[in-house]
Amino acid sequence: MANDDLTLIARVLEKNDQRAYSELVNRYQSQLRYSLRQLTGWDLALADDLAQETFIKAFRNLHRFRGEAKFYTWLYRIAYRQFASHYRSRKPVEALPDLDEHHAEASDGNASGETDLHRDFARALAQLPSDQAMAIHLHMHREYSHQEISDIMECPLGTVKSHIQRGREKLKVLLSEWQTVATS
Amino acid sequence: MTHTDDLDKLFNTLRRSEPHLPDDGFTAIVTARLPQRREVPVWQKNILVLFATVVGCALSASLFPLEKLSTNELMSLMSSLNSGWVTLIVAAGVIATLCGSAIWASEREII
Repeated sequence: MANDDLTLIARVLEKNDQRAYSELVNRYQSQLRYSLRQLTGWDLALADDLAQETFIKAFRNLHRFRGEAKFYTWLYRIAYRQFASHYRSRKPVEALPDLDEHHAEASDGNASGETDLHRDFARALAQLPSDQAMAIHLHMHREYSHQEISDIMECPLGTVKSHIQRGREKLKVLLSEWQTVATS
Repeated sequence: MTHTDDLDKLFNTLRRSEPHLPDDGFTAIVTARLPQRREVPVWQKNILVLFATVVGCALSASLFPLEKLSTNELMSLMSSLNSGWVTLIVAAGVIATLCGSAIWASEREII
């Protein structure tokens, strides 16, 4: 039976057991890397760099984890800071040059359609301000509640709702072609 | 059907089709980059603390200018205790607290 997160964390803190931490990394690497791919416009290298930094920072600060939230939620808080910090130092993606091309392939119903959907979503998200992108991703993809997102992003509940509402409006425009496919 | 529904539908598709990303050495890279902590057994820590305490006490005793302080108020205060063992216990307590704090801080990489 797999150890739960708190047991693994206790082993890391009490015995400096790096194997236990590796288990945690292995357990959550896919979800976190995927989320960061979504937020970085499907930039695989950047997403992995941010994910690595997130896990390392989490390890350094593991003694501050109180267990009030799930480990993964706490991990997201760190990832959000990493992402926001990176986002502040770069220009937003300028355009979605080949959204229509991907859409055309997807509408054929081939196997790459779903992959294209993930990539196009990521590109669309990358055009939103980082706060909106994160809030949208956490709420609509990861299905976190507004309150949980407020805790992760350390901002008021009203701001989270506003981010989600505005982000949705922009996404509707950016992904209008995909929405047509979804309803057809 | 509204656009809002369409967007929700797209997100449902996205959630359902989220791939599990293969580790491909990611965990190994993270683990290799983790800050290494030197693991010292408890008995070694205790010996180190004891040794440091003894050395510190010996140094303090040898360097302390007792002759200069023999006439000042501090000495009179100490002599008023009229029991050397009380002073010794207080000093040991202070040193133990300092050592404990240092170990606690180093374990949490504060220092």
